[in-house]
Amino acid sequence: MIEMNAILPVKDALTTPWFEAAEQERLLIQRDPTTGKVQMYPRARIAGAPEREPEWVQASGRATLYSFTVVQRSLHPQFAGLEPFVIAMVDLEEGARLTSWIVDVPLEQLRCDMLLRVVFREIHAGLTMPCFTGA
Amino acid sequence: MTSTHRFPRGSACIVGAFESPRRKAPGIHPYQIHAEVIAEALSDAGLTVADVDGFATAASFPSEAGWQMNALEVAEYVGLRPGWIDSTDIGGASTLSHVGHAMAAIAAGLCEVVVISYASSGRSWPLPAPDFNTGPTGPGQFEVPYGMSTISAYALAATRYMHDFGLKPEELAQIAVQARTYAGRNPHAMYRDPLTVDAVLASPMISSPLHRLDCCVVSDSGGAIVVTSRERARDTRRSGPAVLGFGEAAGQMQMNQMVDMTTTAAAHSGRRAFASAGLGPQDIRVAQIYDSFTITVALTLEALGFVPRGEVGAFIASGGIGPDGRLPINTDGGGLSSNHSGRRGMYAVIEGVRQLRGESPGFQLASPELCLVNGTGGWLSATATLILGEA
Repeated sequence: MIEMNAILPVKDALTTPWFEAAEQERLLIQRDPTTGKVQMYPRARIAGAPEREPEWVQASGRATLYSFTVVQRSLHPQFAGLEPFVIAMVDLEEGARLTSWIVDVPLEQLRCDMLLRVVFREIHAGLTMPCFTGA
Repeated sequence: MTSTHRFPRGSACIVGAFESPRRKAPGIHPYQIHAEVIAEALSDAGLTVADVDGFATAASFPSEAGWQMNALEVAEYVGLRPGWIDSTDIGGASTLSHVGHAMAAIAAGLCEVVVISYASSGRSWPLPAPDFNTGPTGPGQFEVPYGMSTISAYALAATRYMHDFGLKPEELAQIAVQARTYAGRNPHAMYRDPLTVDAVLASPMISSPLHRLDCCVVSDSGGAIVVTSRERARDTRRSGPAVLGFGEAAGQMQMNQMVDMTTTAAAHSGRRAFASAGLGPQDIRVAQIYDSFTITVALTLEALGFVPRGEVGAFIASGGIGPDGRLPINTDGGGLSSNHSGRRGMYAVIEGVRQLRGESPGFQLASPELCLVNGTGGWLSATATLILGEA
């Protein structure tokens, strides 16, 4: 039974390796073995080509900031008290986009297209996820 | 892309429409509001439950208090016996989607009189779910843990649009100010006191660059419309505008799947709606544009082709959506000031009907002839576009 206010990932057979890698501070993404194109979030098949299965590859962690928002007031009890925090759309140099947090960057220095690198943070108790900071 | 050349242009009309005057209804179950608005919309059309053979309402949000299969439960509650049912849920665009589907069903002979209803106590009903876009399962495992919310999703689009095209916060704020001006004339609008750009910018920042007053109101309300064939419409009490064009389009659910956050699915649904109507943006003089947030309006005006790429800030600043502007929008005060209980598409369609009947409670254009209505669902996740007018 999953509560409707749950925020912790309900890992499944496909995604468990990704979270295990994040625990080891490695960022995995998926690659289409035929075209070499990468995809995130992880899926069992290639989006748009469900006849093919992706393979896991490790990302470099180099990225640019596509967009961001500084959350000053969260409606979610689980996030209230963490404000301000920065939700970001991050474009990895390999080509996939991730939802993430920007950390350790002064808010006034945030700019779209700024260069980023991955860091790993325990964003909730027991959950390590990729975050990004200035390159 | 699917061809639209067989779209049955003008073959169905919206012959009844009613928006609940409720805005704050603590303790009122949404099914009560469904019953109220369906009764009024049928009365408006001069029809009764006995005439109804089709029913559509979206699969329920928790705030709509339907647990599951609520189309069946609402039909039961109201005493409808539909032989055609549609529960399509594409968020705030659902009602527009239902209109298009109903029109196709009527043209195919599956039904003749369709009631479409919506009710939600988005403000007062005790919600089992907070404002997360999706749950932390499947795709949501990679977004929910970071605290993505509805407002943050739209804020991300706003940040990128501002970066790419220089849109200013005060230009976004002007959208809220204009909505409030129209709402000031609407006796049922939730907020009617005059608003200034400075007040919008001084309201608390929720998720940058969006302030509290860049966000829609949160109300308890509902609405219903009645769609029937053009032939049957001649026998109804009010008749009503015909549906001349329709398009719907899916975008994304996870924000990390929205490749270009400055272009919404309305580019797709709008193109199909215009093509099916044989019209273009230049033909439209008034529109109802879903306004969950100020940025929703800005992005949609461009996606629909009303404003050239990147120029929506200047369009807003020059009064483009004002009473004397190129395209007055949300003439009842919109979701930003009048009514937004969770899926505003219903109220946008109703205001489109009222505008064409000459009965807008807000700002009424002299003989508008055509009205475009655009719904946006989810987190810029889907859109549906209707063009209403004389058949």
